[in-house]
Amino acid sequence: MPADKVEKYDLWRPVVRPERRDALDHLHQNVAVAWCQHLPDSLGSSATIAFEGSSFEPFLRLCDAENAVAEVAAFVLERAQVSGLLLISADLVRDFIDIRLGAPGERFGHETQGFTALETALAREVATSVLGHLNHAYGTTGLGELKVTRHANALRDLGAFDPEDYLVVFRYAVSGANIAGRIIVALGTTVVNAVVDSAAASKTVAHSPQLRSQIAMLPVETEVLLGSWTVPLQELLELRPGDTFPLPGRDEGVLMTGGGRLQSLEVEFAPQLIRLRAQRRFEHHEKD
Amino acid sequence: MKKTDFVLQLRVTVSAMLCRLKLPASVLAGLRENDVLEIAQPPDVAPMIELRVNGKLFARAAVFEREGCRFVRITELVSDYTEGGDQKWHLAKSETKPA
Repeated sequence: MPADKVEKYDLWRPVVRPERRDALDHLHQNVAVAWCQHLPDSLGSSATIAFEGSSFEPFLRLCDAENAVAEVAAFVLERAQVSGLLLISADLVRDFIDIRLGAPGERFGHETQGFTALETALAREVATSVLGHLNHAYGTTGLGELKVTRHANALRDLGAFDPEDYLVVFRYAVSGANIAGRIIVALGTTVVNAVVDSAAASKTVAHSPQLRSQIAMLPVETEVLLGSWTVPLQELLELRPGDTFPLPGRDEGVLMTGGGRLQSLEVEFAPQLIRLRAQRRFEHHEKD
Repeated sequence: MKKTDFVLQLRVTVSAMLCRLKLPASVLAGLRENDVLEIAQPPDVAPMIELRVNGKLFARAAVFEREGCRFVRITELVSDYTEGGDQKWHLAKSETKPA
């Protein structure tokens, strides 16, 4: 395990059986699929929401990690008597607003502090839709109805948890055309007593007719290469900042996935834009 | 031949990586000839690339074009490797049907 992944173990940290944790993870993976399928107006049609995993951490640590302006809502699950929160990162809120107002892509690199009244209203509207699907998922799992108790623009202003309260934190990465950011859902640790184990949950996922569309929405890491060539190490040793040299080819590029070439590209540099025009598809996902 | 001279004559593969994108599998599967992926760039800044040696980041460079040819200017030789982020993109589908 990498050194930066090793965490100090707190004696008062709640102990959770793996089956319960798996059940919660499955539940929140399905929430990501529901968001992708039912929020195209907010997310854009090609956006994906990837469930990145869950962790246990005190509220104070979450506040320290997420100390920027964001759309935040506190809620309670009535039947399970569990408090929770939803956080939508500021960059994602702004992308939602751009998509909603039909002006995507204008804020690259121009983040500002805080939201205007209109942005807050639109952010709350999006948060309500996101919470609606969360409510449906919790309802069908028997956790009860989700009731929003408060909205805020910072975690510290929420007042729903004490700093030392432990939370189960579920993180999501949103990416796609003109959209990128994070969604966080966190629940009080008493939720682990209110869920059923994962065996039943995993069976329903395996036989779900939605599996194919779920796989189609999975994000794939790709890289765009402008070219590659071989040189002796001596030439690399002599390179200095400011040195210039030509790249092989004129406007060619290659779209790479998993170390293999997928598609050749025509690469055009325009003002404030790079255009990648798809050309020939490589037959057998050739290795570079 | 000295040992260091021998090492310096070894050849390695340098790749020029323009950007990293996270695309849904469905978009990749449906990518047809002449579809265009657009990536927004900040104004008044030359496009940047990463030069990688056998996959490991070695230098960052700016791309510029002169007389129809593409050149790079080294801006930074990298000693500490840090992974860059994914870029935002927009897909414009081609009007023409594939053959």
